[in-house]
Amino acid sequence: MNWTNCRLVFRRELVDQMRDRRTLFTVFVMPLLLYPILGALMMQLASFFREHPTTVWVVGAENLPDAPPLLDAETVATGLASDAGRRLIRLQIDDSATGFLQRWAGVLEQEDVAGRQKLFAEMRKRGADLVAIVPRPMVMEHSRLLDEQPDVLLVFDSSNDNSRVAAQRWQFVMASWQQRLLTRLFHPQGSGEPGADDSASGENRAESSGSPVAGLTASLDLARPSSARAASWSRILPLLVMVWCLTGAFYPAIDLCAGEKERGTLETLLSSPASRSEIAIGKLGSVMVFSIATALLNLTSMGITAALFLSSSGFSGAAGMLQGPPTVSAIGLVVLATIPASALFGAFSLAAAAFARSSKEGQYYLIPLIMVTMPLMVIPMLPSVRLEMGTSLIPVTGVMLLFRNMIEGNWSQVLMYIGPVTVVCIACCTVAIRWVVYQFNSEEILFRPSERFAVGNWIRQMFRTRDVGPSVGHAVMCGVMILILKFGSGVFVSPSQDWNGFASQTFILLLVTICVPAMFMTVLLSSKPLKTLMLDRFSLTHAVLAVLLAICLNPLLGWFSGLVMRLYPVSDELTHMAAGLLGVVDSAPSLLAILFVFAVAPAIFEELAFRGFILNSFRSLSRPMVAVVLTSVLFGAAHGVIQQSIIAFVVGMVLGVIAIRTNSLLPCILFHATHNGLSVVLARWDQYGIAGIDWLIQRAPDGTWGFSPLTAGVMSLIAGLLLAWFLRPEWKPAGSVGNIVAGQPGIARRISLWLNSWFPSRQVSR
Amino acid sequence: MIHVRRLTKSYADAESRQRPAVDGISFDAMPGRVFGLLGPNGAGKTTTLRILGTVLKPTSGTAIVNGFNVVDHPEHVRRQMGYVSVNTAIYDRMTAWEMVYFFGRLNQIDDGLLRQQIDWLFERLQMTAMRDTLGSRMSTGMKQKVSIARALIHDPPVLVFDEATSGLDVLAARELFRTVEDMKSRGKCIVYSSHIMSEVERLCDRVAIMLGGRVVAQGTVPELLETWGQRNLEDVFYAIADQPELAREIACGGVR
Repeated sequence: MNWTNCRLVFRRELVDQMRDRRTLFTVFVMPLLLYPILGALMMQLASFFREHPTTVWVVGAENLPDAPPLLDAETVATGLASDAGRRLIRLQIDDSATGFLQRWAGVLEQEDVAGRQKLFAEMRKRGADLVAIVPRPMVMEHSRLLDEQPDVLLVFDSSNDNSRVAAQRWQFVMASWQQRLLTRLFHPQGSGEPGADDSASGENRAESSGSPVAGLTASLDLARPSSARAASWSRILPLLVMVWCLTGAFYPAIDLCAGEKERGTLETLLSSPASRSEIAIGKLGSVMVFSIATALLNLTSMGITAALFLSSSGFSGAAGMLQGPPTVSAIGLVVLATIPASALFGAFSLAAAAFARSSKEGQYYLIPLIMVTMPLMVIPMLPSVRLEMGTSLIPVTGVMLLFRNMIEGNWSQVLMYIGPVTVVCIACCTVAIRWVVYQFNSEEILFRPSERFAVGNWIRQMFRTRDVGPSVGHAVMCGVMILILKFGSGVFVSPSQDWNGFASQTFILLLVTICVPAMFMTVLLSSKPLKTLMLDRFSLTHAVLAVLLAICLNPLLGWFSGLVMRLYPVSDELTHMAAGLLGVVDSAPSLLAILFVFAVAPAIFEELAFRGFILNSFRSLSRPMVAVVLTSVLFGAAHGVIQQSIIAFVVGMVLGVIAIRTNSLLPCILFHATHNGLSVVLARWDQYGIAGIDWLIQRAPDGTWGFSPLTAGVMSLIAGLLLAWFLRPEWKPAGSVGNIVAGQPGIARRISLWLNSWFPSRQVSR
Repeated sequence: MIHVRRLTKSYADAESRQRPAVDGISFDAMPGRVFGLLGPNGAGKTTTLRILGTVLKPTSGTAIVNGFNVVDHPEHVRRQMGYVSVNTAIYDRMTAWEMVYFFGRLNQIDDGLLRQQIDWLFERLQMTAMRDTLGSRMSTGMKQKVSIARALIHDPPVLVFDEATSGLDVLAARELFRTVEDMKSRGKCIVYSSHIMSEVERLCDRVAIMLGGRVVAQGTVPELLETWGQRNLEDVFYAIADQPELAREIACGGVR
């Protein structure tokens, strides 16, 4: 054994792999980025965990015993569920049960399908998801344990989401209530808590906890067997279709784009008279066929296997869980669902494949593709997510929810949202196809022979371009660094509960997670930091106009925030957290302190990072509008919660326009500070407001303070004029700071150049 | 015909500096003539032809193919051109006939006419025996024939051959020369690039010698031999490679 040879081979392989971008990415970059990004995605997803309250119609409340209490004035008695759980149960109380029992006797006692539907319709009309009937006065004696007659009858429809959830919640409440009932029976003098030393009660407790609600309640499910079956399949089938379509689309797409590039046939095809978009659409069509075929064959094969398996062996339990095979209409709808699903995933896969130079490289893009689409597929599986305007606008999620509602037969919902879902679907496919076409036109992708990446070169290049200014890649790097730091701080730092701690915490976090990375990169990468951050010039006019714009935009931005909050309502948990935060802010010593923490500090730190370093790095693209959009996307992403992200994106767009127009950071800082400050002041107008200016600032019907309608109208008009001035057509970046880096474009630059291609070019290429 | 004026194409190198692969070249190719692009590997021949084939966009300068600018009307240019290159591969999972039929249909040739044309072309290129052979089972020579058939199927007025003989044996190469001569006699405007001097000397009416992205000498073969006082094109090329400065002076002085 010649060890020198071993060492030589070892060193060669090591160097070889270190020069392979894919290895570097999977071994080093991926693990570092994967978890923060997944974490950030989960945080965004968390805002969809919003539980909707359900309403219980209690009939015959007078028959309930006084103690232990089941009902409070508006909801269930304290202690029967957590406070949050109690807030989710709303009550409609009818004292007497006689009328109800007479009217619905037929439904309650026998199989009356038409009657059942009528009863459910009546429930829906009253807004009730569940009826809890107490038909006769409850006996509070030991003998009730032997009584087989149920005391409470629950009527619900398991094929209806809300009704099913209502039943689950109510059964939980009944279980806790039964514990109390039993305790009271055996310990009439007790405090209500079961005694641990009493063996008899212990036994009974054990019995009762085995089947907590048995004996006390009985339930009547109004769902028709077919709709119950549809409901149980309506969640699973869309998810399966999505997964099948994705797997069916990905590999053909890789072969049709990256594989053809590798084999050289793509150049042959591109030198034919067919246009790039014709080629892309043709390829999408064939990818869709394979995707649909995969889904249908999977469906068939799974169906046959399941049918054979379940009929031959003792797996009836598993079948019972899903209440039988899916209905014919459900299967038909699943077949229909493969069309949008395969179009979406076909387009996404082609986009990923067109980006790859070889099929091997293409296969590496499956993981990022799944990382992006998986959360979108998970959202509809969350118990509280429904088809609403907000969810219908999310790609993949909207399609899944739409088909779920189709399978469940909620056609009114389907008709209402089929438009937005289709529009989003088509828009996504169009964007993906445009990207593919752009990649087909991109010489770097088609003809770059080497996939080698030399770390040394990259670092050398970073420092060599130092004299002219940062590049697009640096902007993205800074953005990602901020996102990771923000995510990390969100996880590891819990908000302080007193004002001083909270204020210093907020200030330090802004400084460390946002300002420091940007400053560090500026110093490292720019020879003229002041110029890079646009701190080298200042105009009083611009400053005044920026402040004026911030004030005048307030009503419009307020309206927009309201719209976003209606589309994507904030989860209870977040509302709760925000309420806690407000409590802390209330204890602030003065308005000035609040303004400093919420307006001045964020304005300075965020502007230095986003409009300062990041925007100017993106300006190396020489298309200002694209730079503004990209900066705003990062600015939005840094705000963590989806609702805030959307609003921050829009504010970021305005700030970007100001920055490009004025070429100075100060107006941006002033705009940002004024915007935040005004929101803070209006939110605490009760405490700090000036009396006697009702014509200017009024209380809106929902209790918040805002500008009076007339003032708001005038302000919006002025804001429009100011924006038009900032956007006026001859705008030209007055001496862009960023350099046009001549170089092999990295991923970030390629994406930005592609975005560039959407805007008409002002440069003549010849 | 083809007019190329001050055509430049720059790429970024590994250290992100712009390096011209083609540096301000100009030439004209006429119908019924074969224009040769001669140069070593990396001289910029393929880049030039890819620009003509509209697969690459020039950094500056113009290229007009049969009246259409390659930047403004790429689809028209592709319709006017048959492009045979060592880089334009053929589909592994398609037979020779299917492949030519596919490209014929992409050129909007009517189905019936196309079938007739394929039969005629296959006979002419002696491809009838291999019409049902899959691409993956073809030899290099067979593949090249399919490439040529694909490029000729729509009877374009302009033909581009880029290193078309690379990998071919002498017999297959001779067949290719015959095809080129045949197309020339049919009045096609042909651009033929190669690094093999003898091929160019044999086929081309006019030659541009490229070195480092520039045209360092241009003229008919006898003109070049005379200017440089050499007996064959190979020696001309060596002379130019040894004295690129002189070549540039001569080129500027106008050897026409």
